[in-house]
Amino acid sequence: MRYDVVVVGAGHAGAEAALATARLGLETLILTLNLDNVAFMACNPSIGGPGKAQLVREVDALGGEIAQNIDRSALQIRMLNTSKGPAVRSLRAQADKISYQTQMRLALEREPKVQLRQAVVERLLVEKGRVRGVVTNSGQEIEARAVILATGTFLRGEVHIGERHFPSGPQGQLPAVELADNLRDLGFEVVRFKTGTPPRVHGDFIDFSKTIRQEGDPALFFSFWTDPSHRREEVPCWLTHTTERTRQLVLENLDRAPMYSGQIQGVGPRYCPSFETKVCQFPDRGEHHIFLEPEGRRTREFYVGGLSTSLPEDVQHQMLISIPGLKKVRLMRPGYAIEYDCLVPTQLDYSLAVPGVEGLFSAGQINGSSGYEEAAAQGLLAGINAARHLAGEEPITIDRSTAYLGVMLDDLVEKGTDEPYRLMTSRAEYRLLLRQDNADLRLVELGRKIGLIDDQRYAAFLEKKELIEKERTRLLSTRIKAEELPAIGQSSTENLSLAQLLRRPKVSYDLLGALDPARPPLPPEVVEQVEILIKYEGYIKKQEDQVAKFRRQEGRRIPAQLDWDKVQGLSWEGRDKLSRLKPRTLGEALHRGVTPADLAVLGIYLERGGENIE
Amino acid sequence: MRVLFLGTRICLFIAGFHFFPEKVKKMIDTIVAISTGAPGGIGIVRLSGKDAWSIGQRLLSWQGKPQARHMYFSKILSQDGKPIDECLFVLMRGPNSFTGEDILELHCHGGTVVLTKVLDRCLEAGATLASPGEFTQRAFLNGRLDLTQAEAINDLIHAKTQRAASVAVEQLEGSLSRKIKDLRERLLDLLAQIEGRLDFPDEIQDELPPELWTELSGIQAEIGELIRSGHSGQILREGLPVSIAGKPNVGKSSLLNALLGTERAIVTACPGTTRDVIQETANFHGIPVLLADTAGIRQAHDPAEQLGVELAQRTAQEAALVLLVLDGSQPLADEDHTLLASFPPEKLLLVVNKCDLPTAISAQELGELSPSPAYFVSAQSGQGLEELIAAIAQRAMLGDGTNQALLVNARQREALYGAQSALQQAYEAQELPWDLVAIDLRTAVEKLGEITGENLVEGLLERIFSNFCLGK
Repeated sequence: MRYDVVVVGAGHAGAEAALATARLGLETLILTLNLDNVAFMACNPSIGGPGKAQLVREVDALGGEIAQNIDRSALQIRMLNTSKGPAVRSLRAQADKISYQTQMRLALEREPKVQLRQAVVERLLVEKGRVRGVVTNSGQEIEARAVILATGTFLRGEVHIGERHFPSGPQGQLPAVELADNLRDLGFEVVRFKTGTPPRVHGDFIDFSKTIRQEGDPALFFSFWTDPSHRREEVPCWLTHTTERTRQLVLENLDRAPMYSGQIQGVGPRYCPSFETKVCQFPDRGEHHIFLEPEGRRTREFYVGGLSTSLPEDVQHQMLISIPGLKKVRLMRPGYAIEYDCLVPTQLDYSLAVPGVEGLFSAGQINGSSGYEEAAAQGLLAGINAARHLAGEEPITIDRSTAYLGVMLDDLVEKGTDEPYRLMTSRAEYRLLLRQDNADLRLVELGRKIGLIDDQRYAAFLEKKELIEKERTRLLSTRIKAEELPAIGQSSTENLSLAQLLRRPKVSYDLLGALDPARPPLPPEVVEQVEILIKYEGYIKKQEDQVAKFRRQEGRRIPAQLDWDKVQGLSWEGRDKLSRLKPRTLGEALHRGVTPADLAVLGIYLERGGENIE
Repeated sequence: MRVLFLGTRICLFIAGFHFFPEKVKKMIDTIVAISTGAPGGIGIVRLSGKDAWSIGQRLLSWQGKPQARHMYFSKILSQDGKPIDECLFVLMRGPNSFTGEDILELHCHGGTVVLTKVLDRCLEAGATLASPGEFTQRAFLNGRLDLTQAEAINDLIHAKTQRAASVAVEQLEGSLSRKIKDLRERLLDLLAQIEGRLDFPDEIQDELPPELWTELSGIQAEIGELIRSGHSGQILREGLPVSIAGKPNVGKSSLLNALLGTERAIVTACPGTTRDVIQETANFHGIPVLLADTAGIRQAHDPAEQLGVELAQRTAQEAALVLLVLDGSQPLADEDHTLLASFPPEKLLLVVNKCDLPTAISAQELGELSPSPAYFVSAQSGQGLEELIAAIAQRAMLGDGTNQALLVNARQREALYGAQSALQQAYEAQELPWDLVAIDLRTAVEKLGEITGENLVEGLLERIFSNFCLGK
């Protein structure tokens, strides 16, 4: 049979990609090495956190599945950074790992145009610069008009546990060796990264009395479309810490750590170092937080967050024992480090198409990123753009000022990464505008245009938008007499609008209720929106001005026939890059990794009318 | 990490080669120039490029393999082996040289004829003539200079006096860029304190250290300091604009000539001779001074003269200092009083000219005119000029008067102002959520980064990861 799209890999990227292409009307085949591991959470059983929660909401607003899926399978959801400001308030869920997989697999199985099948892809069929399908290890040729690679950490995967190392995918799954070779043979530039995971332990042997309980809030959800009246039965997480003894164990066994013995060559992420790295880099620090996170409702397995390690199993066991609450620990799976191949992401373009092979797209960890959320977002985008490619439509691209998705794309595609890439709020220049609470306001229209937001959802969105606008107008126009203010502990010489009051530091929408009897009943997400828009108006305006400047720069045209040698003062690398890539605008030049200094030189040159432009 | 980095570099390089052979060729050329200015005892011919030494071998009598940075004595030979000059030469190997390429310097006998011969010989042996600023350009292109340093070299080339040049040299060594880098790094440390807490709430649970705010206002003050010193830097680079004003025929043009020691302006006894603004650069105690002689300011009848008068008034308004010239041999006129009133007193320097003639103005009259002392000079005899010159120089350096002034150009100053105001706003936001404080702090870091050419995010992440132990 011939398919429109074949998706290689059914992890977090692959699942989103397949759902997107199928929902956009394309016959989609999704292949996985193991059907039981669809949307497998190989590491932390958790979704969200700063930067990532925003991304999950964006995927939701564009019509992706991840937010719905975590709402269906969460053990608990917490709001992080509640007091640190609206830009960084972030949801984080603890997932029931098994349920997460089952739910995602079910979503795929129920999607009429998706076929889910277990197979090992050995190579791509490429003809005259076009992808024509894939070949499986049984020799079967599967034809497709587009192929999306979402292979995760499986490409030439190599697991390290102490002195032992062997070819493997994550958590004992098969590695994809032939496909990795095939990609190299096709001439793609490949880099080797490393990541790791901590050990898992048996919950019945944890003494929780020695740990601190962390609760979630059963009324919190990721998806804009989840029924808000739903209430979750919460499962707590637990906090403990390492001790001096743990540290000593690492130091005594450093010669057996593959990270330090030279056995591992791949580059690991700085934001998620192994415990041995933490000990070596922060020798003065006695204790490190350890998070005991349940992996599901129907298992007693616990994830030991904070103890990512590839030390030998016996050392891991000793280390666990040294942690308060884990004295009687039963190790269920050891931690390990995994090295894998990924494509150098600067080879890709903004649509996640792989240049050089028409119809080929890639998404997720194969693009040098890390994290389920990052993978899901790329999967969605690759799916959308594969569909648009087949329909002969312009690809969807999203810039840094619109979404974290745009920040990630820009970082990966234009700047590249020298470690597994993770989103963080600090990567976003316009963070205050890219909030998790307004992801729908930023992106639903685009999702609708793409065709992934159905009528019902769209209507709900429009209604919410209208409520926000109405309430905002009401707060701006409703005036409160000065003499009423002491009732809420405020004072003023003149009458003030509710909006003016709300801008004061200690005044909340809630507090204003006492002076505002005419207030309509509103859903909490509408109130939240109105409150943020009014309270932080000054800062929002500041960021909007920055965005306007960014867009102006984006739009500043560079003449196509510009003679780069005439632009004095450009760096050698900058000049080379610019003359090779021929960016059409200053913004594009910025994306292409041109340094600010070069950009300034170029800007000045254009400003002076160096090329008689307009 | 290495693999990726290397990979991209190679890819870039090859792509550059493939698509732009002519540009690659250009960089491959070995350039040559006489790099010393006015004729002196020694003249240096400098070659830069990968063939610098092989060209040198073709024209030097010295045989062997020279050690880098050592001086050798040799003859420079013409193509047919006849000596052109004797020289000391030194070879500097790239990338440890100014341009980042191999550099061969031939220290020859000064004198235009000899140097031109040596230069020609180099060209004959395969070098190409450097275009103006090309050594600097190569240094910049080869990553040997950052933008600030490159600008400093540009300032150096255009520096108008020795003192300005010495400041440019100081900046070239990176004193400005060091200072700004240092401030930026300290700010990044503060920002990392906040950003780390925003992005890693599990790992960093404590409050912001209160010293953060003291450090923040400290940095803000230092930026203010830089801006202030930047003003005198600007004077050093662009010159102090000084306007010579006065009613017609008080001897303004003669004064200009006397101050310059040349005959630039037309001097006649006929009032209203100077109709254009004449501007000259003078060197007063190492300070470049832009002296503008203006048409005598009075009610003019001739339209051309009227134009000159208007121009004079405007020039005087724009000047940092106005030398108001009085004719000491004549009693004070109404016009003198009117003129005096039309300039702000802090800009004025009263100059009583023609003091070689009998004085018609009393000390008391002068005291009533202006509280600051008047300078008695004679443009004719040169009397009192030294004191006047010293006074002008002192005005230029008012406030610091040291050699430490950092050259801050307009672009840099603008960025410094931006950083300063962003820090002020961050400081005022202490009670607000951290993500809002971060907005202004980031702006400040970015503004400083515009000067040093550094990108915010990578430096910031580096800070977060090295300051905090992170990772679940």
